[in-house]
Amino acid sequence: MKRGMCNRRFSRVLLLVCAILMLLLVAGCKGEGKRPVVKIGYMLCNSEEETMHRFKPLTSYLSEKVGVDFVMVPVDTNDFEKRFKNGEFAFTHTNSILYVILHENQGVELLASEKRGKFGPRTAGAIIARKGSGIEKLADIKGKRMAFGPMLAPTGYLAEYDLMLAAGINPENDLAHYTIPSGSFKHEKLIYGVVYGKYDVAAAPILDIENMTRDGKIAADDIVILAQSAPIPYCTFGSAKGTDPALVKKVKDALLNLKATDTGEVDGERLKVLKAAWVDGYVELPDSDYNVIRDMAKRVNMPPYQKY
Amino acid sequence: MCKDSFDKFCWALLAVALSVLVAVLVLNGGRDNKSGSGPNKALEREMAYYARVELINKLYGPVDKLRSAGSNQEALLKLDELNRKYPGEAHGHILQGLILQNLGAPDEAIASFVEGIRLNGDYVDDKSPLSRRREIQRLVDTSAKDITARIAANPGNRTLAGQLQKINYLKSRLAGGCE
Repeated sequence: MKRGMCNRRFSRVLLLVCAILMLLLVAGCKGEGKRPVVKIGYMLCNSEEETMHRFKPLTSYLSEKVGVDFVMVPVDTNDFEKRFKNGEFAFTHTNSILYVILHENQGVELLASEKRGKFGPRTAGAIIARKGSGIEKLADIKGKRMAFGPMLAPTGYLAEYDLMLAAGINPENDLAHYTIPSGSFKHEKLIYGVVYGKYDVAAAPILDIENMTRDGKIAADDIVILAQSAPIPYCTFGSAKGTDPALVKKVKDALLNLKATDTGEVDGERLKVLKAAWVDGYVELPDSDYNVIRDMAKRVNMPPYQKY
Repeated sequence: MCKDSFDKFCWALLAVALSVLVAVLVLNGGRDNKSGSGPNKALEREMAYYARVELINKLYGPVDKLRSAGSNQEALLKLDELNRKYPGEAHGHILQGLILQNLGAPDEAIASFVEGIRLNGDYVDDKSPLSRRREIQRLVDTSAKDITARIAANPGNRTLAGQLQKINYLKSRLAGGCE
C-alpha cells in the first residue's frame, strides 16, 4: 500500500520536473526567436557566391555583438537604390559612389569605411596598357580599344573617365571603341585582357592590380600605368535614415572595434571575420572625405548629379 | 691563527697564490688593451652597418629608380614584392611611406613611417646614411596642421584621434625621443 503511494508520488514529481524542463526549453527557443531581425543589403562585388562567402562571418559577428539577428541580402548594384527605397534592408554595404547616391537621394548615413590594400580606406583608379605595347602616355590612347569596369564602379569607371576628360580625351569620341566585359569578375577580366592583348588599354582599380600582383596572376612589370587618380574612399557601410540610433551606434562600434582575431560562426564553424572578408579593418571617415567622389560624379555627369 | 709552522706555511702559500692570480689578471688585461679588441669590435660594427646600407641600396635600388622617374604606382607594386620577401625590413616601410606621400595618401604614409621608425630609428637620425629625416619632418609638419583642422570639424572621430597619435609619435622621434 505504502509502496504504491510512494511510486505514484515519485511519478508525479518526475512528471512535474519534465514539464518544467519542457517549459524552460520552449521559453529558451522563444527568447532566441524574439531577437529583432535586421537586414543588411550587400552590394555584389564580383559574384553573389563570393560576396556571401566573404561577408557571412562578419554578419554573424555583428549579430553576436549587437544582439539582433542580422540577415544578409545580396543585391545587384543596379537594383540597389530601388530595393533600398522599397525598405528591403536597413543597413547598406556598397561601394563609395553607391553610398553617395544613397546619401543624396535616400538620406543614408555613413557608418564606417572599409580598409583594404595599400591606401587603407581608399583606393585609386588607373588607366593601364601592356608594357612594350608602344602606349607610353595618356595621349597615346586616342584611337585605341579600351575596356572599362561596370558603370557604377568608382575606381573602375568613374575615376578613369574623369582622368580622360581632364586630359582632354573624350571617351565617347576619341577611342576606336570602348567596352565593358560581360559577366562577373569584370575588373580581373579587363586587366587580363590588357596583358594578353584583347584590349589596348583598360580602366583598372588599383586594388585589383595590387591583389593580382600579390597573388601572382600578373607581374608588376606586365603593365604600365598611364594615369592614376587621387585615392578615393571605397567600400562603405551605411544605415537608413531613422534607424534606431542605439542600434546604429552598436553596429558602428562593433565594426570599428573589429580585430584580426575576431570570429563569427558560419555553419557551426568559427571563422576569422576580417580574413574571410579580405578586409584590414574599418575606420570612421567623415562624410566630407567623399566630396572628391561627388566632384568626380558632377564632372563625369553621373548619378546622383546626372543631367540629361 | 699562526700557531705553528704548518699554519705559517699555509698562509704564505695562500698569499703567493693570490699574488700570482692578481699578476696574471693584470698582465692579461694589459695585453687585451694592447691588442685593441674594443676598437676592432667598433670597426666590425661599422663595417657590418655599411655593408647593410650597401645591400639595402642594391635590393631596393629598382624601387628607388622607378620612384625617381615618377612611376610611383609601379614602384609601389615592385616594393610590395620585396616587402613579401623581407617583411621585417624597416627600409621597405620607409620607402612605402615616401611613395604613398607622392601618391596623395598622407595618412597611410604616416602609418608606414611609424612602422619603419619603430623597427629602426636610423631613418630620423641626421647622421645616418639611411636618414629620411627631412622628408618625414615635412610630412609631419603638414599633417599636424591638417589633422588639427579635421579633428575640430569632426569632434569625437576615433580614426582621426588615432591618426593624431601616430603624428605625435613621429614628432617625438624627430625631437630625439626613444621608442
